[in-house]
Amino acid sequence: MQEINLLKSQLKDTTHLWQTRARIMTMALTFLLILELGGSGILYVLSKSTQSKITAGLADNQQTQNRINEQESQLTPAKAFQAQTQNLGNLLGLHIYWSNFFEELSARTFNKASFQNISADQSGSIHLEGLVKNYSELGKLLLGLSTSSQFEEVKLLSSSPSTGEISGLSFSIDLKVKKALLYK
Amino acid sequence: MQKDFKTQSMAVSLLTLVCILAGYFGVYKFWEKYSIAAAQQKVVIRDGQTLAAAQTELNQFLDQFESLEKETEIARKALPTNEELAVLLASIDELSKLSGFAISTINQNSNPDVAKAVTQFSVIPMDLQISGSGSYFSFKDFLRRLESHLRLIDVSNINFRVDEVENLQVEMRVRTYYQK
Repeated sequence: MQEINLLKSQLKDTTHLWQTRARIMTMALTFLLILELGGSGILYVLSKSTQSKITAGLADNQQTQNRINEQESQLTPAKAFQAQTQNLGNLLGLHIYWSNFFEELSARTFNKASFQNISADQSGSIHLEGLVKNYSELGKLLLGLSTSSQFEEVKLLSSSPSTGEISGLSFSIDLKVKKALLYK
Repeated sequence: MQKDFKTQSMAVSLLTLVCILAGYFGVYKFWEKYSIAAAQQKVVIRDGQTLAAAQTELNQFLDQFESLEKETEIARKALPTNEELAVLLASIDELSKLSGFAISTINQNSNPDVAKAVTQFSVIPMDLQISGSGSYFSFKDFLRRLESHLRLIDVSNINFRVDEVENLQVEMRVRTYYQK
């Protein structure tokens, strides 16, 4: 009996098309798999290499740390010297020069006055006791001290006729020395 | 024909599954491992650079210190690392003789507890009370020598009076220092 195809125009043979697609997909997937395996291999090698670099780096760092630790003992005298220079700088900034005060006192003292007692402390407070012949000389002494740019608050505390062997006036004066003179 | 279709479908499905598994367990896992390792390597390199910089700085510091031998000696004399009272007394004695100022007494007024309380490299003051006599000029010279002495000496208080023979009777408190 003769075979009659009534759907001749609608039915197509898709076997060939499907086989082609399946082959393409297989090839693509195989290619992808090869890529993945290759990529995995490369990443594995990179990881291993990075790990070995880390190990080497850590060993280097440990060696450097050990060298630094060994040098710590040499640091103590260096640190002490560093502290000494720092401390000396600070102390020199506060170093007191009393000789400046005595130079200024000599220069500003009326030459007929004589000092019997002098007390001075590091705050710059000075107490002077001495002898002059009369009030005129005492006035000149006070004037001389007051005109010094390095002295301030010159105060006559007391003056009275001397009770000792030398006749004249005994006096006591307080004054302040400016810090700039003592800490030059 | 049907069998061939099934086989090929299974092969494609299997291949897809293998690709997914290889992607996850291969590429993704190794990428993750590599990323962690790369980050660790960066940290190690940065630590290495920090340590290398620290060592360079340390070497420079030590080289500089070794080149300052003379200055170290001066600093050691100016601010010794212990009291060195014997050396100080000998120096004061020598200075007074050079000035013609006669020292009668020297007393130490330091508080020993101060030295125990301070931290390393701190400055510890040491107070001395000096009494002596001489002319005004010898006293001034002695004072100037004390002020310019290599070991730092600060004269904190001065009291003097003129005695019967016009000599100065001087009492002064001086402060010197050492570093712990």
